[in-house]
Amino acid sequence: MTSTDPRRGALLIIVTGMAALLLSLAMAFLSTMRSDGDRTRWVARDTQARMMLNAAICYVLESSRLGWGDQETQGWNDLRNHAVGPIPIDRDPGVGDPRQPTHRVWTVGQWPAPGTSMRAAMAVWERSPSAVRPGPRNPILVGPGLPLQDDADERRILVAGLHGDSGSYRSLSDVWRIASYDRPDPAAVVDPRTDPADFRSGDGRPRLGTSNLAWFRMYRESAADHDGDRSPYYDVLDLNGGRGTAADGTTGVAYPPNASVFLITCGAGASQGFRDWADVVAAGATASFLDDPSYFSDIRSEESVLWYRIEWSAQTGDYGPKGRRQNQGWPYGGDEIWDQFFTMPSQGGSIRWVQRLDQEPPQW
Amino acid sequence: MRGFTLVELLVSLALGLIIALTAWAGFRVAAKTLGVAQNLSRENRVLVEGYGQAMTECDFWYAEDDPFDAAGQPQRQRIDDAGNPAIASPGTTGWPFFFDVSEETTFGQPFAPVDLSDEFWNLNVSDPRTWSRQGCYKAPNFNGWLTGSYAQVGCIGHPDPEGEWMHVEQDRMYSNLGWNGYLDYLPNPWIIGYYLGREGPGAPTTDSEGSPVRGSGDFAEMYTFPRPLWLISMNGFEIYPSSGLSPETALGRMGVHLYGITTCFAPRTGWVADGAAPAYVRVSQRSIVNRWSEWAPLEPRLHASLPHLSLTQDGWPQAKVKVIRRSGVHGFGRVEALVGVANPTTGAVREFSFTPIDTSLRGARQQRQWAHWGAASMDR
Repeated sequence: MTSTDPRRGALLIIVTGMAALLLSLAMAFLSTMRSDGDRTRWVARDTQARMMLNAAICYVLESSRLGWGDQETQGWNDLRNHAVGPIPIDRDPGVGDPRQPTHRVWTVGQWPAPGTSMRAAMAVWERSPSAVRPGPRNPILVGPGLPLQDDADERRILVAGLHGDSGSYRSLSDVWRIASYDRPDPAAVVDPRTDPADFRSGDGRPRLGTSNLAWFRMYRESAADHDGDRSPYYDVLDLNGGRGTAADGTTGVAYPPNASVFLITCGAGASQGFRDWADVVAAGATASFLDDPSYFSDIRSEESVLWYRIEWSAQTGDYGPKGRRQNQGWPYGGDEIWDQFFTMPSQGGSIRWVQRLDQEPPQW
Repeated sequence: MRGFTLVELLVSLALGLIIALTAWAGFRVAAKTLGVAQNLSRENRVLVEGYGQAMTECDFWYAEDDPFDAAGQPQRQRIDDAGNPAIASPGTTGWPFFFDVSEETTFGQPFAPVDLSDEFWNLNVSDPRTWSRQGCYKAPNFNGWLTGSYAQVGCIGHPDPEGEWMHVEQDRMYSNLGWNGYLDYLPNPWIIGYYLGREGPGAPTTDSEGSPVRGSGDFAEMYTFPRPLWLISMNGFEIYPSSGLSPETALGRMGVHLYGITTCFAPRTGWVADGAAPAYVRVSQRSIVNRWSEWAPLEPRLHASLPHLSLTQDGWPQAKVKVIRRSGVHGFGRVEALVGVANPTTGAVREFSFTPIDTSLRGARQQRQWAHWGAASMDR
């Protein structure tokens, strides 16, 4: 054969063609995987952002009563006179203008004043404040032959000898409390007897792999944001009205405005909840983004951001019936299971309504 | 030129065969992998689309009410005799509660306009008007028990505005928003029920708009409740004998769902999952009693889905999206979303369900009052 024999070229063409085919299959495969990955990332981001709505609602509920100093406060609209709170429980909410009561915890222009916003970049703490060890809570050790039932015979509990306590407890619910006295349970991660400050403060360093995933921002609406004047676009209903009798008996007094409406921005991504570069600069956080506005801009463009409005209510949740329930189909034939039923108790109040916004609001 | 020996020929044939088989196997694996990847990708695409649609429904209530098309707004008006189906209840007759629901002709629906006072929208819990006292006062004569007069505290038409306010609010909500909308708007610790009041013995009871309603005639003990609220919407027939206590003792909007009772919202025609008939009229009128076997036949009609989701190509995975809003004794105003995919190629069926935080009815109604959504006049 000579070096110009056409059979050698044919073989090369065949091999090249096969390789090209394999390459095209591989490219199609990679392309499919890439677009699948993009879609999956969108779902993950959207879900993460929606989880932030849950976190933000928890923040609103808890901070209606806690977190503004040593004293418990009495709600975003104070439940004693509807003044714009939070106001400590031991201070008179009726002093001063109810729109800016004298004993309020907030300062005009700063969070949590109406018309201001806050930012919460979320990460899991290494150790939360007042952390306790995981595991079953207050396990009750029941002696042989002692059935697990409430209202158990007092003597049978004594016979079980749970704590050597010959008290007068009558049911397992009493035993539950006694167990806590004998042995701290749940046990603290850091013993508060040796280091109470550390136990209380926790360890705020972010746990590995939990940073830069999600955040929320919260804007506390001012009265003008929900006075029904259609500015902003979602302001379709006057939520500030109402007149009633003041504490001094004066009738027909206008209610203080509704200061319990919040606009929540839920985000999934690494921007830490900064709205724009100016916001980053104002917070002195440019180093977190390599001092590069375009880097921050890239991060923002990758994020999922959702906007919601909610209204907080001082009312502590749905109220169950004080009635009887019977454990079978026909009403008169069964045993009573409970005679009181309370559900969803929330010491921080409740959320009256939730509204998703379809457009970016002017303030967030 | 020399030719091939037989051994050379056989060896070359064997080598060639091995190479060809290897190449074929490689292509085959590559092609099958690509096929599987494409199939999974389609499943993934359908699931992602389903997830997005489910979340959209949770956020915007399109299945219940189309903000942009009047034909898709059947739940914006109160229901009367004109063309709306009557309700049927297995509890309409029988001891000791004889009543005929066909006499009740007007019910609200969740997207109907409602006039409520300014105080309702800025609910001031320090104002005594907002305090529910109904758990402490029963009808003057309940089942033979003399337990105090509810009218001493307040009723519609009560001379003391403080005693009238809550009753008017509840009456407006129930009459305009229907049973399911009423529960959503009811401040959460309030007790369900309000006293209509009447001018004197034998006089008809009237609602907050002054129209006579049947509040007590055939059910003498029930001064506290307007008849449709107690006997029809609330399913008092089920609640009273189950509890053995007077219902106004304390039935809040979750407690009213004891005994296997559920309240739902329902999608409009064309948006019901699996093409089932809509049930929005039914659920705006009254709750669902499982012990009467009402849940199973109604349940498919309560799931919102999207009419175009099945319009994928032949042979592609088929999406299934279901969103249901319901309240029971263990949770009020929950939304449950289910996203599934059935793959005709592989026979695989996958389903995922979750309970996101959704826009509540109040939020959905405010959305429809946005200027770019039609600026409906709903909450006044």
